[in-house]
Amino acid sequence: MKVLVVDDSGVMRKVIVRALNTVGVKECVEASNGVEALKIFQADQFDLILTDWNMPEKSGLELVQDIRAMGATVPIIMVTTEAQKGQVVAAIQAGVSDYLTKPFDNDVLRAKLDKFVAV
Amino acid sequence: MSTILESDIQSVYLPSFIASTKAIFKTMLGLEITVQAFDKAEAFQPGHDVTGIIGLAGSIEGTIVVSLEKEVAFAAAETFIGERPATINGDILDLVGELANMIGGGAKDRLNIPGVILGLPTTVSGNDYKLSFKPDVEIETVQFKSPSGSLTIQIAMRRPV
Repeated sequence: MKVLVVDDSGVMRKVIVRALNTVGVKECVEASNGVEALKIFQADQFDLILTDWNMPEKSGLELVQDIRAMGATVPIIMVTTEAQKGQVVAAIQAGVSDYLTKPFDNDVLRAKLDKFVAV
Repeated sequence: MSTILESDIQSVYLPSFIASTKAIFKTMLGLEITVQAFDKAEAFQPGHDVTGIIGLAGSIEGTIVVSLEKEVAFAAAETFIGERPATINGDILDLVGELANMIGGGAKDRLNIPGVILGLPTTVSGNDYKLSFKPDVEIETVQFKSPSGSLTIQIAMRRPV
């Protein structure tokens, strides 16, 4: 299983990759914004994407819209501080599969990952 | 003009920022923090070693400044990423920027005001600087104590016109 982790914070990417490792995912590819993530996604196959919302160059929401516009059905989890109802609705309308609000503890993150990870 | 913009920074904004800060430190970093003091300062001189700054725009405008003593930042890094840096490095700056982002996001959620946009965080290493704000900004500073040392948040919100 291969997972694309998208966040402009390298520290947050480390936290997510570590949590992925604990549920058995060893193959993680990291991107620091939506532009970089889209390039990587177009060149490779992924089973799951975890993306932040607020990032420079291209936001997570724009990334989700671009990926869905390509017809891709890969599960996408939005991991973000954006927790207001209107933003959650916008993310769901854009095509996210699940939503994880920061702050989260590792148990909550792992529970979300377990839904999508079949190692 | 929204009702909330006419309200006092202490009664409306501050409780949300304090609750957000406590929740993030407890949930993500395993650190219990308590409020030690409040201050209204015209300019921010944190005296701490590493600082994250993030802006709010849209229906409310303001700046959030989160400043940590280095021992607090090191303890936070140890819990958050499983590594305790020996110096203030890129991971520490990144972490403090992410803390500012999460504190701002959590407060925004608690305030529940539509149309608020969170900016991207900026970080500062060192304490030999002073932040200045425009005259139409109301400022409130909260000092917290954690088991590893002190941290400060400052909220600078633009007054309603």
